[in-house]
Parts: sequence; C-alpha cells; structure tokens
Amino acid sequence: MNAPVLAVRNLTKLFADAARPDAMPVGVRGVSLEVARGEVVGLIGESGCGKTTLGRCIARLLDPDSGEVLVRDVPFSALKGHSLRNFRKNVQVVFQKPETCLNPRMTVAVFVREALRNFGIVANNAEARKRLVELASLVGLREAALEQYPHQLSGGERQRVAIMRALACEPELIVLDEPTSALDVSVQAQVLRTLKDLQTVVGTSFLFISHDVAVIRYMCARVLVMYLGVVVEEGPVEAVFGRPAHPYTRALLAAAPRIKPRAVDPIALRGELMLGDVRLDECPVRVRCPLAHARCVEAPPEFDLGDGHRSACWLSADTASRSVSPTAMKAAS
Amino acid sequence: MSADAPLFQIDGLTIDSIRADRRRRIVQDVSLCVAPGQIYGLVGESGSGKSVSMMASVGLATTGLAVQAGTVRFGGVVQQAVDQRGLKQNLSHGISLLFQNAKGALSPFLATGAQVGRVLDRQAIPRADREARISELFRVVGLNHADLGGKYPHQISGGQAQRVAMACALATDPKLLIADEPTTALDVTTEREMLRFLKRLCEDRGLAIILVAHNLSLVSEYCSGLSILHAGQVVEDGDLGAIFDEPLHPYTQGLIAAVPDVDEPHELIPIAGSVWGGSADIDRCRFSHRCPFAMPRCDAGIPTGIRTRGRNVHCVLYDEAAS
Repeated sequence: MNAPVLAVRNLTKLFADAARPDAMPVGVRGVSLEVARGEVVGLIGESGCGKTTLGRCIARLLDPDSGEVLVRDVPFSALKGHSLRNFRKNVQVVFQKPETCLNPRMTVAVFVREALRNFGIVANNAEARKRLVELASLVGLREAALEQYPHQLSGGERQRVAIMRALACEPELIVLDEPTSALDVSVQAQVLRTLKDLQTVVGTSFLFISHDVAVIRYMCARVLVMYLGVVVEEGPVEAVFGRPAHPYTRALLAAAPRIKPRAVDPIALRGELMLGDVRLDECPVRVRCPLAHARCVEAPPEFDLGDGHRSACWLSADTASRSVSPTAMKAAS
Repeated sequence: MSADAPLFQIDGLTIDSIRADRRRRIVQDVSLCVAPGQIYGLVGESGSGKSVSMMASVGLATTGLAVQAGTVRFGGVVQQAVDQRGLKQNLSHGISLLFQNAKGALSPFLATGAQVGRVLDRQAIPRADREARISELFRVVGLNHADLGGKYPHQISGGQAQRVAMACALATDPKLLIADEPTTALDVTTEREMLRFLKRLCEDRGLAIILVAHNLSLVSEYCSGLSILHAGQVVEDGDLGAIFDEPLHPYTQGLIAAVPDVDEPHELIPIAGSVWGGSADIDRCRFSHRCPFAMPRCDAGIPTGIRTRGRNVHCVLYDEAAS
C-alpha cells in the first residue's frame, strides 16, 4: 500500500481544569490514526470528546503533549521555524464558522490571493487571477463573488470561500472541523455535494470532523468514533454503521434523529458525560454504559473484527480474532 | 382532529420588520392550531420567521417589528395580536417558553434552586410549601434538588441547565410550552433524552408543546402536527404522518431530499438559492425562485391552504386537484 498522507502516532494533548486540579483533564489520549492519499476519514463524537483538539494538533494549531504527527512521512509535529512555516501549506483547515476566519476588510479575491502568494504558488497577479477563477469554479462560487466582501455573501458562499482558501494552498490534507454545522439543511446539502465532487476531482485527503452521524455516513469511507479522548471504534463506514460493535457507537447511532424513525430503540446511555465520575484506568464509557460489567473496570484493548474494523470493548473480545495494541485510557503523565 | 377543541390557535398572523427606511413583511398570514396534549412542530430554515411568529403570538415581539394583523386564541379567549401588551399580560399565565441557550436563560448569579423559587414567588405560594414545590419541580424534570439546587449555572452541564430552565417553565403550571430549538445546543444522546421527557410530560399532564426546529428529522419522531415555513409563509401544514409519507409542496420535498440519512445514505439534492433570495412581495409565492416547478402563476398569488390528503398545501400545483 502507498504511504499514508497523514499518520498520527500515540498523540496526547490534555487540558487540565485549573479550578479543579483533581478532576480528570480533557483532550486527546494516545490516539493513532492514518489517512491514505485521496481518502476521506470521518471523526465523530459528542462535545468534549477531543475531536477538535485532535484536528488542531494535526494542523499544528496546537502542539501535542506527546506523540507525533507525520505528513508524507515528514514529522510535522517536530518541525520548527522556516521549515514549519513552509510545510504548513500541506495541511489546511476549514472551520465551523466561516465568519471567524474570513477577513471582513478584504474582498474574496484579495483574501484568497494572500494564501496563493504566501506559499509562492503563483508568481504574479495575472497568474493569481487565473487560478482564482479556476478555484471559484471548483468550489461552485460565482465569479462575481470574488470582488465582494464576506458580509455581502450568504453563509453557504462564505463556507465555499473558506474551502477555496484551504484549496488554494494545494494541500495534501484538509481538516474540515464541523464545516456544515452552522448551515441550514438546504445549504448543507449544497456544500456537502461540492465537497464530495471536489474530493473526486482534486483527490485531496480529508479528515472530516462532525457530530452528525448522517453527514459522516454520506461523506466518508472510513470513520473513527471518539469518546473522552480515546478512539472507541473505527473501521469502514459500512461496518461501523451497519454492524456497530461498541455500545457507545450503538447508542450514538440510535440517538441520531431520523426522518423515518426506527421502531425499536435498542440501546441508550445513562445520563450525561460527567468528568468527575470517570476513572483513568477503566473503560471511559463504563459509568454510562448499559452493558457495563465487572471487566470494564479495566480499560479494554482494541479488538480486531476484521477489515480494519476495531472496537475497544470487552464485549467485542469474543467476536474478535486477535487483540491489537493495548489502548484506551493511558494514565495521564 | 385538533379542530374540535383547540387549546392555542393563531390566525392570519402578519408581521412587518421596519429597519431604517426599509419595510419588509417577514411573516405573512401564518395560522396554526394546537390541541391539548399535542406536540406540534414548526419547521423552517433560519430566517423563515418561526421564532418571530412564536414570540409575537405571546406578546413578545421585539422593537423593529410591527404586528399588522392576526388573532391569537388561547383557552377560549380571542385576542388581537396587534395589541402586544394585552397579549403578554393575558398569556403570561398558562404559556411558558423554553429557549435554545439554557445557560443564557438562567441567571449566573443565582443558584438553580433559587431560580425556580423566583418563579414560584410570582404566584404567592405559601412559604411552607415553597421548598417542597421546588423539590417536586426538580423531581419532575429528572434532577435531584438536594444535589443540584445549590449549584450555579456554570457548575452544571448543558443538559442539566436545560432541565432547570424546564423546571422554571413548569413552575407556573402552564397549559402550553413553546420550545424554541430546545435541544440544538445539546449532544444527540442528551437531545433524545430531553425530547422523550417532553413527550412524557405531554402524555402525563396534558401539556401541549410547540416545538420550533430547523431540523425536519427532529420533529418526525415526536410531533403529530406540523407547519413548514418558508420566508414567512406557511407552505404546508397538517398531520405529520401524512406530510412525511407523501410530501406535496416542492419545498417540503426539497427539505426531505436534502437531509442525509443515517440508515440508508442517499445522494443529497440541494435546494437552490436561499430563503430570502427571491422577491419579498406580499401577494406571490416566495419559494418560486427556488422551485423546480415554478410557473408564471406563482408570481400572481398564493392559494390559501388547499386541503388535500390530510394536510393543507399552499401551492398552485394542487389548485385544480382541490376544486
């Protein structure tokens, strides 16, 4: 297999609550993942599960406490100074709210041209102009919008500009952090369609972060489910959505609102995520898990269910062929 | 079914927004009808006028909005919506509101138990009963007063805050609860719990709820009636089952096709354009600029609710079918 565009190895980034030093820190605990060239990988989980933190560490907007991020086998997380600055073009981010990342005093053309010129992708303004028109048509933005300011555009158009800016750098990987959560359904459908078409044309790898399981199912080929900073289940979407192995994944899928409601409601978690209740050395889902039993006081390893489908739950042990590396809640050092 | 004894009925509500020299009709001729114990869904994209019409129907229209026409009927009394002050006075008992941002709705300076107590204080509850009532309200919303009553909003989770807001809303013993996107800020697992709880309240106490949402899939499981709003106009309303089984209005069809499905992924078909991208004229269909079936007649007027197959559809496509 060809080398992955992105490889994350054992990444940890924790935030302690200064007001409550004894409470469990939140963030990402020892997560590993790989994204192949041209692959769209989804990251789902509820708020506080560390999905955004992971995305930010990958884009080097945050520095991890430990672990490394490799982009095309270059240790991105260890780069410094000029080499870091030049390398940043390879990983770009699209955020949830385009308003916060667009410059209100720049027209779209000026704004995106900055990205083009910054990384020396175009030599002069004439070339930049040509590229801008190309990019606009790629993301489905009307050409007239290039001369407009962000406030003159609709929410969907602004998100297209953010995607266009990310694409302008010709990155290897784009981290999309909840790119459609702030949009209405009709506009969300437009933007998702654009992203999907774009992905097939340009072939850039996507790491798609979302809390909406339906959006992930539509967009991604492979998916990782996170809970409290660890990956509890991962695999191809058909496997994870069709035969969810982890009780948390099952609960998450069952809870998703549907146009055609399902008659049965098989599994539900108890209560809400309460950091105070969780202990570091046990399964993170134990306190809320309806299937929790004696073994769950010990953190389960990831069990391989075949085809890259893995689940970190003791109940998967019987169906799994062999266990992979021990995982889950590694004690925060 | 809801026509026999409506609890809450809005008729012909029309609201203008006045900003500087620009006047625009943001809600046009909106009517809906809720029966006791019913959960009624009000769905539309942002800017479609759903929150505005709800607020104006209980006398809380903000400055810059001018209610032009409409009546509100609650508990057998009919009132003019133009008289916002009168509405507010007469409806504040019997109707409660629940908002999206629960932590914003609670005072950061008051412990949660005290917030619920404040609502009770407005109703001259005897001192001796007060504490018992607060504990009872906490119990109803699924919280423990002994644990949480002394905590401040920043010390509790979003789901708990929404439940405290719920306890405040129930403290007046309302007949109708208007819940404006009550779960949008919550996680899906918490959202489901909250909505189930609301449904149980309706079944146990006969409370009616208007659930305002932008997400069609959210209302499908919990509501029995539904109104779909687009640019201040009702496009389709009536029995939820009938509408979801066979959506008739092109906008309803478009909304359903645009929502991704968890169980059976399908290609998404976006609706072109935006809510207010077309003409905002009064006497025409405001969806025609996004509509695949648009025809010249759409610019001429909008039929008022053609009754067919268990719902009212406001579209000229079905004009002949009815007559």
